[in-house]
Amino acid sequence: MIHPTKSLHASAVLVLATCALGADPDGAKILKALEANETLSADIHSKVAITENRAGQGAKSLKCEYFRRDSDKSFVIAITAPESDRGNGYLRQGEHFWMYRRNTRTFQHVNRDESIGGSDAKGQDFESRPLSQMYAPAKDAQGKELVRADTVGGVPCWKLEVRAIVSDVDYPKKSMWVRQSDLLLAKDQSFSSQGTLMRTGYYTKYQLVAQRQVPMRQVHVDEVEKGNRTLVDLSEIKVGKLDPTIFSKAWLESQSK
Amino acid sequence: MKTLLYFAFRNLMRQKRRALLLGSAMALGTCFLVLASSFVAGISQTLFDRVMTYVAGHTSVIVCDRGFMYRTAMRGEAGFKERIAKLPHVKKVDETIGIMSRIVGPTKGDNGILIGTDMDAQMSQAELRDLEDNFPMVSGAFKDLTRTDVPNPAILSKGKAQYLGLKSGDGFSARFQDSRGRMQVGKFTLVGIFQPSNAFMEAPFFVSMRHAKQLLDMDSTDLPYLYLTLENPTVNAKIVADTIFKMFEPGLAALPVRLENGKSVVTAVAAGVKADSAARSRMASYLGAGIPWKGDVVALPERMALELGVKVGDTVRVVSGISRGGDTISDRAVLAGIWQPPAGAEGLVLWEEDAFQSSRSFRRSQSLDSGLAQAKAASSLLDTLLSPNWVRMNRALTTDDVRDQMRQIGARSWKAPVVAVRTMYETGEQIIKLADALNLITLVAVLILFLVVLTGVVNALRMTVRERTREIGTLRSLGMQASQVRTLFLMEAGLLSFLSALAGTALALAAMFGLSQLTFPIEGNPLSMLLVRGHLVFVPEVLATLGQILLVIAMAVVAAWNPASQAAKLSPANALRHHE
Amino acid sequence: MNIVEIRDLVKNYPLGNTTVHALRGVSMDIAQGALMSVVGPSGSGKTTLLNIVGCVDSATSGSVKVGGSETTSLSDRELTFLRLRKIGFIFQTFNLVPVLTALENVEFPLLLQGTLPKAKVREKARQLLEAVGILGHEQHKPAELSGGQRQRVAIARALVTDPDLVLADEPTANLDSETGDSILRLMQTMNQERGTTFVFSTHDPQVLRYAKDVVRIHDGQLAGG
Repeated sequence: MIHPTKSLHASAVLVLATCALGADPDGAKILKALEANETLSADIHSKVAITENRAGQGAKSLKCEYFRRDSDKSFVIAITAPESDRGNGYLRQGEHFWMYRRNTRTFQHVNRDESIGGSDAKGQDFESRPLSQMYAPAKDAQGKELVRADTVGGVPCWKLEVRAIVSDVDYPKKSMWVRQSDLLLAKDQSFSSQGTLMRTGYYTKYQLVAQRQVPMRQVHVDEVEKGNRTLVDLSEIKVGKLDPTIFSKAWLESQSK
Repeated sequence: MKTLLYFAFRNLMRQKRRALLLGSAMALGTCFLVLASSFVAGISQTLFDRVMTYVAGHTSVIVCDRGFMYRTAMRGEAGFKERIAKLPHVKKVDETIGIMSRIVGPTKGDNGILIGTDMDAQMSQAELRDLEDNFPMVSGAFKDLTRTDVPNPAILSKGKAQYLGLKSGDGFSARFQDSRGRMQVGKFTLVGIFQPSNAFMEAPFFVSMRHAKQLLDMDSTDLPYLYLTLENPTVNAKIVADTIFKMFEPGLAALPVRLENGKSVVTAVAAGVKADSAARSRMASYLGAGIPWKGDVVALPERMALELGVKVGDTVRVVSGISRGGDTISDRAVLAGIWQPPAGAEGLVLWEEDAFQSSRSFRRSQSLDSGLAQAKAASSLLDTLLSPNWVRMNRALTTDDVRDQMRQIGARSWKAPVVAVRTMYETGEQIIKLADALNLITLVAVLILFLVVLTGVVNALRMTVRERTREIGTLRSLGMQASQVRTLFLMEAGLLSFLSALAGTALALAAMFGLSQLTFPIEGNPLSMLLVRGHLVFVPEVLATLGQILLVIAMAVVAAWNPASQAAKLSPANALRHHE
Repeated sequence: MNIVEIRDLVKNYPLGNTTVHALRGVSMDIAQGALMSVVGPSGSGKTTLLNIVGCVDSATSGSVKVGGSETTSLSDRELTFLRLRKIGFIFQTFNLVPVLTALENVEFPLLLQGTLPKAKVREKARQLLEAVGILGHEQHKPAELSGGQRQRVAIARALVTDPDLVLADEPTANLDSETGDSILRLMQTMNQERGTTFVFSTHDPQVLRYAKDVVRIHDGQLAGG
């Protein structure tokens, strides 16, 4: 079973940078730019299709509706396909995070570090923190930020290396490729504390939504278990105040009928 | 009495065939009873001493970091292991590490549980044998986990190795979350393959405890889960758990820190201060006008603020230690206000609880609470606002309680490490139920035996009384009291059952010896966990066996009571007149 | 002096739906040292009389004194004790305990009394076996003995406790006449030598010559002395 949660959240972190940098890139500024619009001011609603390719097992896909209201850190995920998962979903209200199961008609608390449905997403991933509170630009021996020019798919980017400034993040080290033209994230790589590459993400098809640039397609490659990759496609994004009753157990339950 | 006993014995000999038949039935019954109870005792011993100690420990200490269930370490509290090991009735204290992991072979991956096996510690030959019993090796051996010529030696089940396409000597990687919540990947070398006795045993993925701790970023000062092996666990599990529970009386937490503002550096001790709304308003009254007590904030004594050259609203770097990776664990906190420390707490920095506990948890732990005296001094002023060193969960008394408690631990964001003490009665209920069920089976066997003995003895004795009616009359005429007649028959039944029970016990011992010589295949045998090295285990207990012999005698005597009384009640004249 | 005094002894007992009037008002005395024979046809009540005198059966009405004790008012326990101390029994069918040897059979009443040490018991039993003339058979089981031998053992058993009264119910009925004679002679001898009171019942007039006193019983009543 695959879950939309992790990837969705990653997408939310990606934001539009409003100003391009000069020839002399500043890592801190890039991070600030990425962080600047982490939070959406408006509620959004989107359809999400997630296709998970598992090595030797072919592809599995999942479709869901995603409702998000950042003003009080709430979101709802209602799975619409495949039939076996239809009606299941997730609800977050502030501190509380539940998983809903249609078969048992129960809401189950998701533990903070519980793996969600066997994926590498954890309940804690939804306790969002600003990027700059988790990472800072990594520096070389001379104290110089590790930023250099690179390309991703032929697009000129800044490659920025960041390291965690707090200890409780999934990945202590990351590399980020940020498009030089608009400071949008094109690719990132996550490393374990020993420096092993664990995952790579690609972000494409940016679209302007409520003054934020949102990647409509993300590809996440599992670098440990080669051949595992996950595609996240967003569509039909709508912006604007959502009916508050959506962010409730009752609503999620009603979607399973 | 002696006369009667002798007479009873001679009488038994009179009806050899009948006595032999009834005696054989009783002997078989006793044999079955002794055999069954020894078998159950054997299984109980296996369950409690071998299975339970693996699955849950007779008594266990569960720890996790602030409700993160998979961060199973309490920093800097390893000393508890020594203290617990010294408690009465504690035979052994095992550190236990079991972490969900994703094992990745050359072409595909599979889930497994990374288990640390303590190969360095005092593992006796017997324990090693037990381990290899439970996980019979197809290739390699558990001692290969200590190999140093390959990176992270590991042992997998046959099924898992096949699925992943691995053979002995191959390398593979595994992804897991370390004790600080970070995703990690480790490189391993397959040095051994075991054949699991059942499907549930497929999952373990063994590495040495030393490697497991390294991989999970734990060190010798960290307290992981502890599984205890106790003497006489059924009696002592709860007693020991209650004692350990008392040992974990929560106190205050303190953490040595270094405060930096540019070039200015001050060493201090930090204490956590709660930041809920009630605490916030109280802090506001302590700190006067300033920044609300919320988020990553600190309050400093005035002298310290001056030394650092900071004023309310400024940011201070709080360095709380060095992580294993060599990184400095630091935090940027906003100075929310200046506080007036009471005497004895002059070097105490107040730090918002979440940031404080988080730093505390990520620090490589030396003596965490070395500034405790200052925190204690401060508690005269701050009272309930100070953050505890850990949160102790109440003793859960049932399996349901434990389940609820696990949910509670996982669902809430606790402000401090969480510790819970459990016994097998809550955690290993299934196993206890199995043992109880087996005891019940023995009880039913006793009841059936009772019926057999009852009907057998009653019938045989009635027949005997009828046959010997005239003799009873004669004896009564000669001056034997009615009560002596009854005693005589009771003695006959008692004597027969005693001899039968002895014979049955001997038979049972012989059968146990014979059965325990048989070797059963362990592979694919779902009951193999009840075997020891493929052999059935019988534990005949002297007291229990004596009890069972007495029980059989008592049953026979009780059964004989009615016919014996009938015999005693016969009128001598009528008895004499009786013609067979 | 009388060892037994019987007055107006009535004994009824049910048999199916009817009542058998076994004794219909018997009064008699048995003097100490008597060798008395109770004679009567089968079913005349002689066994019942002996049983009541021997305290193994109870009277329906009347008075029975044995050794001065009024037995009709004694409990079963007291009656049993009385039998043990004062009365010896000899049965028509010998009634030896089959699982015990001849010697053990003789010892048995003494062991029940439990007053003499084991060695004394054995010695006394041997003496009696010698007295009844079957020494050399003491280790034989009853089944290994002839009828006469068995009855001798039974006499020894009856006498071993030095009872005041020995009751013998048709002691010769299951023996050939020669053996029966020897048994009666033995009883006669014992009566003379030990002064033991013997009462024996018989339906055989031949037996009477051994008796000093004869009581005739017919249909539950004494028919004159």
